[in-house]
Amino acid sequence: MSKGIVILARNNEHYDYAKIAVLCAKMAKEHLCLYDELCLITDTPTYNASKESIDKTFDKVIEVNDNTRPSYRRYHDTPERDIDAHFMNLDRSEVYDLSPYDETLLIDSDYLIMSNVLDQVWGSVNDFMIHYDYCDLGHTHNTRRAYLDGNTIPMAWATVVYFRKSVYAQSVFTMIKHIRKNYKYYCTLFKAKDHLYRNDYVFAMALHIINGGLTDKVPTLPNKYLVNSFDIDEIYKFKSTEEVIILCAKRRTSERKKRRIKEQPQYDTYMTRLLGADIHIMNKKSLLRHADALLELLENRNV
Amino acid sequence: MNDIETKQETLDSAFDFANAMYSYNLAKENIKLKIDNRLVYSVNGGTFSVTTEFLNFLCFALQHGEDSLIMLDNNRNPILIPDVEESLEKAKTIYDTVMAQAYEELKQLESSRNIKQVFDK
Repeated sequence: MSKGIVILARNNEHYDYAKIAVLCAKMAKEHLCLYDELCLITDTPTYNASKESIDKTFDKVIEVNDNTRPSYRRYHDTPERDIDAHFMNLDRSEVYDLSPYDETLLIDSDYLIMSNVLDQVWGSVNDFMIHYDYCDLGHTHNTRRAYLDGNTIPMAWATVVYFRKSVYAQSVFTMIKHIRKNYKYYCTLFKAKDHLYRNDYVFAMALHIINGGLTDKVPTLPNKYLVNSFDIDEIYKFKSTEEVIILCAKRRTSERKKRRIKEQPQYDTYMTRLLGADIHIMNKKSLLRHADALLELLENRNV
Repeated sequence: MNDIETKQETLDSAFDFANAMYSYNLAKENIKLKIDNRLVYSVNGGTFSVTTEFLNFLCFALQHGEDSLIMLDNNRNPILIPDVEESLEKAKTIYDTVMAQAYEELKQLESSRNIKQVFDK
């Protein structure tokens, strides 16, 4: 049984996703050891732009040139800055067909592996595993589970997905492709916002349908919940390859708002640390600002 | 300084204290979050949370001469644990490692009054 980690990355006009993917792969190499290969799925322009570092890091590169019109979204870089850019996230539905492995661990390029917990996915009795529960590093959300419109079906996080080549996993991905083609219809059906194509929504809908509405029957990954740092947070620094200090932004409460002058930002910032646990860092600009420092830490560890 | 100013200053320091407490509690919560995510042990395709209950049950089975055992894992799959003694040893090692690290982190946190100082060390 071949076991591979697959990362998807496609650059857009503002974000060097290839660099983030290289970072993500190096973190996986640093902390995980039970997989056979690391594979990147990318497009030709992204591959050509960072060919040397990609070839050095990944065991396999699969080029896919999807001509589908990409989504357009607003990225946040801390509460102070917004960036509008293309969002090439449509090829995740093709991963089942593209992955050359019997067992695949699909991870987002902005998911930093800082523990060895995901080594435990290989050889699982489950054909498909995903996170439904999440926790944000700033603990600003009181719930561990999000719903598509607040009360329809629970949202799955497509950030980390494990699947084995099987009838079940194949059916899930077939359903994902179908929902992708009819995204507006399914958004109406499940009362989800349809202005942006979201893989999280599509995976949630597909799993809900495939499991006959029994979403609780979908197995979860070994680490119980996904740890998120949202895009309004800022990385302060990486102290080591398994420790990150983050400045979490928290919206001011109304009673505190009254006490402040209007021109001041509406967020307070709190410093926190995560040591020895995996984290999904949504502020990609912040990740890119610290990428060289983290790469240097990784290089020094391997000398 | 008049009465109103004094009250304002007291309120300001209470808000500052609340801020410090928030940072402290946040750091504490994130230690717990790490514990939750790392206290897992996988065997024979199943994943178990390494709780004191899990460790005790393995210990209990071993004391009663059971070399193998079937248990429901985190995803409610019945999983055969083929070698209870080996699993107990491995799970206990995970428990000890994670707990020792969390204990150190918490001690470091409690011994300092400034979050930034702790993290900058």
